[in-house]
Amino acid sequence: MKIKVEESWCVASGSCVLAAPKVFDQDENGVVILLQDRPAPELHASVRTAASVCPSAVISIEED
Amino acid sequence: MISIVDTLPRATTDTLAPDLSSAGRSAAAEWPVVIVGASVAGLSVAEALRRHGYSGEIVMVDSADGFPGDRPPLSKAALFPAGETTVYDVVPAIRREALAMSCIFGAAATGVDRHARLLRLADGRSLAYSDLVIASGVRPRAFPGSNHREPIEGLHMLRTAADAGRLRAALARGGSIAIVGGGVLGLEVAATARGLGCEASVIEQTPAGLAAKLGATLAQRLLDLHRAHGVRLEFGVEAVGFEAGQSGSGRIEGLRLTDGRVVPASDILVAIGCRPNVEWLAKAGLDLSDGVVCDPFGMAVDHIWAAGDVARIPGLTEEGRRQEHKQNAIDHGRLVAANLLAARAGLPLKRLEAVPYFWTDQFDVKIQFAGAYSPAAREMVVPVEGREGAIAVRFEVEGRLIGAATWNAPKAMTQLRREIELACLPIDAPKESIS
Ligand SMILES: Cc1cc2nc3c(=O)[nH]c(=O)nc-3n(C[C@H](O)[C@H](O)[C@H](O)COP(=O)(O)OP(=O)(O)OC[C@H]3O[C@@H](n4cnc5c(N)ncnc54)[C@H](O)[C@@H]3O)c2cc1C
Ligand code: SF4
Repeated sequence: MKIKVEESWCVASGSCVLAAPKVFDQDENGVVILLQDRPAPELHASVRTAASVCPSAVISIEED
Repeated sequence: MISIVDTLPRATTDTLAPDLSSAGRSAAAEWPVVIVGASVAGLSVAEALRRHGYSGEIVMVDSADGFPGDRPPLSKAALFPAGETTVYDVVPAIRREALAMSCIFGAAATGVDRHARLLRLADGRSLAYSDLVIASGVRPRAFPGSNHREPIEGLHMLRTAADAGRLRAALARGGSIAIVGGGVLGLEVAATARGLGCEASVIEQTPAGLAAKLGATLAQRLLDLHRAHGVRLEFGVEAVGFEAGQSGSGRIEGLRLTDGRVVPASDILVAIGCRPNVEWLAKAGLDLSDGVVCDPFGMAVDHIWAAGDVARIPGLTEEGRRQEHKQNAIDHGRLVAANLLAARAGLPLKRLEAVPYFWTDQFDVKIQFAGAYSPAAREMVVPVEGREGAIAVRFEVEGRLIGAATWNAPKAMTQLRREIELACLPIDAPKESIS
């Protein structure tokens, strides 16, 4: 799995952080920070959840 | 791949008489999942169905001519001169294409035959469904007394990209806008209009305005911010009509208030709330007392579900008040998809456990809100370290955090959302998210 984020669309909701805190964080303005773009398989389900709850379609996933 | 179909998928002709004898019923499970509304909630359902491995047919129906764009920018960046470019797809095209669904655009749903499991479309065709998802959203309430069959130049409502285009052109001319309704939408547009150098007035009939939604502290701060930026606020007074055409132009010239005063304005935005798009369901035998009233699983009746602005689904922190916010529409969609598939498999359904959340951007301030507000709650203001002017407000009932609001403190909000979730989840329900 490879993750990409389009920061310019981010509305600072933190929904991704709540779903997958090992993969996403936020800067001081709330904008998403991608902590790792190729997470280990045990994190994949949480990353898919994060992408699906993001209110601004910021997160895209390429499955291997 | 998305196909815009004009010949409908099988089992969808107007002469079809579905066989719902017991043999027919098992065949019905093979019929498509039909989703009415191709916006946030509808797309969230479709994506979650595929994520859960559903490989059957999905048909999406919308009365619009294509996927509606994302709405939040429409009251913000989209009103600036080059604003069209800020309206994105709700879900990027590449993600939509991966859903391999059939889309029928320009076709309003006009009725449902629950027993035959048929959705009727305005063009006379019918569509058989295994499960139907109602995601038809809401539309703005019209100004009482105005006759919207004859559009009046300068009288605006705001829901679609086309509405935003008209408002953008009006604001670009300069002049002054009077906004009826001091809710989140009205105030966002006032802030944007000031940012564009226009004069802006907001007329709100309740004296307290947003306090019933955000709590007194943040509501007061927000109004002070608007005053400091030169927005004229008229609270506790009702707008009763408009002045138009006095100079023979047919254009809006001002907004008339109950106390007889007229607020001069070249444009009026009516932002007095929305009505759920449920008229087409009038004969379906559903509870339509507040949008589509559902159980905590998102089901209205057997094989009919609802999601998004149109749906009232009781959650953890509120007695099922209908929400009109984007995160809510996404959360509903995920819930409905998971439960629709669970119901088919005879598995237990999950109740809505997502904590309600919304944001609004006004001037240079981001306000975020999670959970519920209750006038009975104790309101506690907490400073946020390291961010000038930022605050967080906690709403507690008997020591339990039921809601929170922040002012320019997004990271604090993420923590508060987690805290509310923990405080509101039933103790016997271990946190297990619907993926
Ligand atoms: C200007 C504006 C700004 C906003 N800003 C924010 C914000 O900052 N933060 C936030 O959280 N939320 C915001 N929102 C709210 C957010 O956009 C909505 O919550 C979200 O769009 C709801 O999605 P939905 O899918 O439930 O409904 P909708 O987006 O309303 O979509 C419903 C769809 O159903 C279709 N439809 C309706 N009736 C029929 C029918 N009979 N047959 C076929 N199709 C039909 C419509 O054409 C439409 O495409 C804003 C909304 C607006 C208008
Ligand atoms: S969920 Fe989306 S919008 Fe919210 S912080 Fe994460 S990337 Fe940004």
